[in-house]
Amino acid sequence: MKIKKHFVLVLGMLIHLSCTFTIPDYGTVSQQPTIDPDYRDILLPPNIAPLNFIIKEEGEAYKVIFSADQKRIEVNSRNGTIQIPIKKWRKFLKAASGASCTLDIFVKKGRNHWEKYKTITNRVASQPIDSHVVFRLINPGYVLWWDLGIYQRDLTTFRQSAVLSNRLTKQNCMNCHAFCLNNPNSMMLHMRAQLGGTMLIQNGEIKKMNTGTPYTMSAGVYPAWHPGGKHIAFSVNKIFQNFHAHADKSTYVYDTASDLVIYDIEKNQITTSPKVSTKRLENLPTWDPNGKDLYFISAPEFVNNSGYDTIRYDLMRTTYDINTNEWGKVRPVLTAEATGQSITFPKVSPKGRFLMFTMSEHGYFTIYTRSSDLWLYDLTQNHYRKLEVNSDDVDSYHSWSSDGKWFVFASKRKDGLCARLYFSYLDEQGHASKPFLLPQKNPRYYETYLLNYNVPELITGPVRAGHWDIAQRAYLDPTPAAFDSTVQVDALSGATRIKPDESRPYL
Amino acid sequence: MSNKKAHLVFFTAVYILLFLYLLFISKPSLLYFQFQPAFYFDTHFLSGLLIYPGGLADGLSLFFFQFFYQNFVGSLLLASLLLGIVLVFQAQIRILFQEKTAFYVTLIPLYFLILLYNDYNMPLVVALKFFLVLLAAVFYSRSGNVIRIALLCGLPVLYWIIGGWFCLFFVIIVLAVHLSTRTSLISFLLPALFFLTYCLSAFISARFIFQISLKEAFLYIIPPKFYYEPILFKITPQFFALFLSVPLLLLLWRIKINISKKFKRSEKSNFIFLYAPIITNIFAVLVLCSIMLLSLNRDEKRKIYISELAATAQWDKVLAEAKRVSAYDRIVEFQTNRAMCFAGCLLDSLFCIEHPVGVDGLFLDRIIASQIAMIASDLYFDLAHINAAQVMAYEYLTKFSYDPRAFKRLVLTNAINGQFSKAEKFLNLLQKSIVHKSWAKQHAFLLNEEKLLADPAIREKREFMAKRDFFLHSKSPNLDMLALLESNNHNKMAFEYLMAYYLLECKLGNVAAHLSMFKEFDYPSIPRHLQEAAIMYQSGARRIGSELIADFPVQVFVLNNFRQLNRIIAKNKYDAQKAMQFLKPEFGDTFWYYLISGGAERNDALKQRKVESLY
Repeated sequence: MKIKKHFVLVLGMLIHLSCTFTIPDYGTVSQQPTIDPDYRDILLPPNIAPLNFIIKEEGEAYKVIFSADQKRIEVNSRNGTIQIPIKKWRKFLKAASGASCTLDIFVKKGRNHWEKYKTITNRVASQPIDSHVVFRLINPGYVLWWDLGIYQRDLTTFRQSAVLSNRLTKQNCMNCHAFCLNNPNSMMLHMRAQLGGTMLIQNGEIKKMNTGTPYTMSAGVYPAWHPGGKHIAFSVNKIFQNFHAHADKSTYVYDTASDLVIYDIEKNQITTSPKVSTKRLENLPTWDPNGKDLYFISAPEFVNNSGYDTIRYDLMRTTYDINTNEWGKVRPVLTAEATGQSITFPKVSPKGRFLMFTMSEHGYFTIYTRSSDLWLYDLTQNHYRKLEVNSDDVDSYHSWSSDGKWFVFASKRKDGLCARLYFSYLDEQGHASKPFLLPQKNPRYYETYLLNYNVPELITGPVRAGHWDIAQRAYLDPTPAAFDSTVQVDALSGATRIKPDESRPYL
Repeated sequence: MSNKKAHLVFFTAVYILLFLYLLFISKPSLLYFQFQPAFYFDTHFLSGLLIYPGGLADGLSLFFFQFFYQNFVGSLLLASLLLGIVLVFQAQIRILFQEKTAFYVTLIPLYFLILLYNDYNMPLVVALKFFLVLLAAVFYSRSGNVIRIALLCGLPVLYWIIGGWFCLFFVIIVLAVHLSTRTSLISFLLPALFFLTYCLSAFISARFIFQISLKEAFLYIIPPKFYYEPILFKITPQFFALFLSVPLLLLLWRIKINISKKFKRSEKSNFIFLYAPIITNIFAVLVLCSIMLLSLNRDEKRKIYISELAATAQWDKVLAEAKRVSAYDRIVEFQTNRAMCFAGCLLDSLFCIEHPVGVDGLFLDRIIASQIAMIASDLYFDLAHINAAQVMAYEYLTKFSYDPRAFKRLVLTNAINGQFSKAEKFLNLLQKSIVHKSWAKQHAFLLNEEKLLADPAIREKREFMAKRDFFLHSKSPNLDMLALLESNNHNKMAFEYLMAYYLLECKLGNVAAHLSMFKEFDYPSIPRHLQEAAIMYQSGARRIGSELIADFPVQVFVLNNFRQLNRIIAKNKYDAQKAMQFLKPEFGDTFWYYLISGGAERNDALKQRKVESLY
């Protein structure tokens, strides 16, 4: 018994020593090491999962020491893959919250010869990021689809699960998932082709709606939940897609017509106004947190594709009173003429101060446009500027965290092919920190991963509605929405007056 | 001969027969070409196999199936698996009935398997899962009640490995095992419990664990993509017969034993009974041979072979094999058109073959579908229409993810486009495959601009690819061809496809308008069909006073043929329909005959299809 005890003790000491060996002597390298993903000089949330990475420096062995305020984690590796134990990481981040932390990277270059690279200093914010991000995973094909789904990832761990996969719903297409104020209990998503309809998930209740009416050119497309949670602004669109022949370009998605409508969830009614259903291309609505101002983008009427690269969208604002169903005047906020570029995906921060948007050479569907970058409009000072987070490749669809401190966006900077999720912190002055890639347990995860992360939305907790329940409802016929009988124009682009004697089947 | 030796001789003969049949007649490499199985030692690929019941066996089968690219190895593996099924079934009968001579019975499931594999639309995984189930059934039959109950508890694991359909098959065999041994309460109780566990496993999987439909949970056989073109896997009566054969044979064998016990006689003295096993075994092997030879879907085999030949640029063989296909197939026509182009005779021999779908046999993607996307990509790559080839490869990947052909194409197109990080991604994936690793190594040079330009084939693509941007016109590919010719007027293939398009669309004005471009190429003489179209145009243009084609010499024999054609039509009082029967023998391979017999109207048949897969 005694021998056994000693054996365990010695073994334990050996394991401890092997894990925490010290480097007696080493040379220094004046540069920071190359690591992938690039987690250098970043600001990270205090609740993020371990930022595992690969050291891209030649060596026989590797050692990384994470230090912050008396806390220390040491990770050793034979092949440069650094995987940080999650429990230690959590304690470490807790200690470093609101302060800096350092990474000292040692690489063994030869027999007993170690080199220490220049210390990497990161900061840990005191504000946590929303715990989950929801996105669609889809292949990089363009027209067809097969396996796809809406997924959620717990940002505090590496857990990822499908909210709904289309294996359950006859391999149909699903898109445009959206949440009301980052609330996982207020979600919607569209189903296309088979089992078509809009799924509304609110506090455990699941409904399937058909938001298409004879007076709208399509069912609701791009959504924006009203902060009150009882209305959703949609664009209705006629969307087309073309492919470029030239090497530098790939796909071009465009609308030949688009208008705005508002869907009243309780009344199950669609309404619009001549102000937002004009011949122009009104698109991508987004609410101000005050619940009155509605921002959207708008471009001149589509004529033909010959001048596709001159179609540029302006940023517009109108007001809508959900109680009186009254629309205000439409006013330009920022025009394409002023910026020289096309504005798209406007999103107002939760406190209403900033409006983040994407700008590119032309069009609004920027996920295929390399010139696409993120910009920030300060609504209090009427001033806009390009964010620091951009790259040479596509930087597109973004979403705010519930407190407006963090945002997530999709970028193709890593390989030019697949959109990946990047996170950044925005300070009071509107300056964004260097973005960091969604961490994975295996830092080589993205090397061979072929699916695109699409439409990332930050939410404050997991979506609890079960896939089974959503799918059961998806198989039912959708409830058709009615078109507001008080509105005398349609949303078939051009606000054609509805004839009084025309039958309105859904009224 | 002792029973053991008879065993050995019989099964060795069956194995050799299977192996030779597969190697020389059936050719597993064609099965490989049809399915393009690939196995990657990649986290995402492997984890994708774990997210549905049946995925593990699918993965295991993919691992073996990938080696079928070598006909010899494929024959060896498939013959071994098929023999394995026979041996395991033999073991089952021996365990249940202590019967050692009934070789012929064990061949019956093999008959159905051969019938099914002879259609080239069933992946290896069906035979593999069938084998695994029989193996599990043998284990079950040998075991006592305690182990059987342990197996009952382990059924969810088996369900997860092999999927719903095969798990149900196992449960049915369990029932048959019990019914064929003795009928007691346990004969019904245990199978009932197995069935209940199967149902629960399937329901719980769909409800709580995996994101799959109930149908998939209960009855998953193979991945759904194989139910579509070009594979078109179907659940046929033979398929049901395969699965029913095992339990039915077990039950019938029990009946046979009971009967023979009742009518026991002195077998040794009877000549027929003495030689009956040998005669029946020889008969069983003869039946096997007949099934092998008679059920082989020769047309399907030839179609796949043609695609394989096209993939390896053996154009003369493509043309030879295409002539032997009995029923029309759009892919065969498409590959024949390609082959004629590479053989330099497209504009001379285009109308030597039938074009029932008109221009849709020349360009496949006017109606897009994943199943034709890869072949469409092949043509665009030939034409140096790099972005179109790339778009099609991506579209193909949507349904046929991890297809190595698509990965290889995307390595090439991205490298030609100078997008090396994208090319590297696909090279990384190919490096994780045992079979395609060497290709990836050989093509690593594509990531280096200088080395890439040293490759003449790649350099040619760079020269011919679109220099000016335009939108791809999959519905009007002539516009793409014109744009490619605008980028480089030496792109002979683009010219030939442009002219072939106009000929098939019977657009004489367009042929006339672009005819002068032929001078850019090294034709020994003006292609026959262009002459035919030009004469037709000239005669029409003269009548209506349109501009004539200048400087376009027509050969005398073509002119004489045209006169003869007009004579026959005139003889039939200018009734073209009436004249057809007289025209076909002499002019059946001319543009004129194509035009008179319906011309461009024929692609309407394709447009009217109701299902995407009906191409």
